Amino acid sequence: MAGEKKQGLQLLDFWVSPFGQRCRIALDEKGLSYEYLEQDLANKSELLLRANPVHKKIPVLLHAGRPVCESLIIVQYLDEAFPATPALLPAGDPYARAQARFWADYVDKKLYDCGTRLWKLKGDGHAQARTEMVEILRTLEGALGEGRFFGGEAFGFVDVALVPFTSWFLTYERFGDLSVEKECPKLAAWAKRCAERPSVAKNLYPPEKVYEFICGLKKRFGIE
Amino acid sequence: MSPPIKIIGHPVSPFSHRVEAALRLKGVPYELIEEDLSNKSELLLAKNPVHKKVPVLLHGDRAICESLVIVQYVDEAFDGPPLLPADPNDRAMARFWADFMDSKLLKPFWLAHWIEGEAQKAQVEEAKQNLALLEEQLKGRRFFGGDTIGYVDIAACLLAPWLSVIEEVTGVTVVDENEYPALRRWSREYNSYEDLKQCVPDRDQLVAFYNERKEGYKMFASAWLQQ
Repeated sequence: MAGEKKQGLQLLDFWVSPFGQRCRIALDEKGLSYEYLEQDLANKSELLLRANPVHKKIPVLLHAGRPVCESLIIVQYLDEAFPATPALLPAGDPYARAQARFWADYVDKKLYDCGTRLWKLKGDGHAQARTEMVEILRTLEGALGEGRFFGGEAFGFVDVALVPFTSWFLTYERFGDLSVEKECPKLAAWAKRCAERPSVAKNLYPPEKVYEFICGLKKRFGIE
Repeated sequence: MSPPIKIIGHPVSPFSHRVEAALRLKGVPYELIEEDLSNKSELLLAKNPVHKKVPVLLHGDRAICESLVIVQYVDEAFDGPPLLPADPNDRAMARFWADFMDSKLLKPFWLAHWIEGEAQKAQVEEAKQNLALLEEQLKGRRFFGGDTIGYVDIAACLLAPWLSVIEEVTGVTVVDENEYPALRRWSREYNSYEDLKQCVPDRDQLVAFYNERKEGYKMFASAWLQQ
């Protein structure tokens, strides 16, 4: 672990954001110390708006004041800016890197949006979201295959991309009336394996807390 | 000796073009397997079971899907001029703007041309805001990548060969020459770039293709708006 010097890294983030958690986990996996700056998303700071004028979203990594936006871009940046730290994208293997990027992109395109529809919608919309969620989880389990992690033996890019959503499984299960353990036992086992890693244990909130957060959002949006 | 490279794609698809452009810029020969977009082949479904879409790069027995994933693969797997810059922060910015094309610009830009009425106004407004951000990114440079075409230019190709075609077919202009002079100049430069001449789709063919399917594209746009 580097000494007290923070390498000039700051992370603008929001506690429960799975996208922010990807960055926190990546930083810890690499042994990089950083300053965590919790953002008030209802009242966005000048710092955030200046650092991410295009999307105005967290997470944003600041490295010696220069911003990097979009969680997966941040994780790749950390690999490239700190090449002496453990690589998250497999080094020197373009095909394995392409596979990793493909599956991380799949998580981005599919999971969060479907999860949101699952807790927001009723009736046909909800039923559709439930069907899709099971398909997404099964597809991801297929990509995992027989490996300990998505990249094989080593915890890597796709694991970082997906693992924050494991805290959301309970929420998906309750709102979707489904069981990840039952539908995708290998994926459930992978989630447990990841939870044993210090970077993951430290940076994910208990599933009950995520569920409580979503219930709070539902009340605030007037969804019953 | 590298195994043969094939693309399952279509000249009318800007996503497929991205892959052709990347390979041309690297000087890598390839074969384009033209997919019937209205009747997906066994090959496509086998090689891209997850998304069932073009383009797919076939490199020996490897299949790589998602156009920007493929372009990065091409940059890393083959020698030749780099498509992404060397500095990590510049690389992050390039990835950011390429992602911006797909996540922020694509939908309102497309819909602004194909839908009508009140809804069109909102799409035009959003498209213009995003186009302004791109205009600013060019900052008087010849290309987003500097003096040569790079990752962001390839990602933005919808605004090059397709721009004047869509304008002609729909009769709509969003990228006004006066408001976006840098983008229009960039578009012309891209379309006449020597190394890409052989994969820039034939303009007349593109116009004919879209004209023949105009109603279909309008319906698709209406459906996309509702999503």
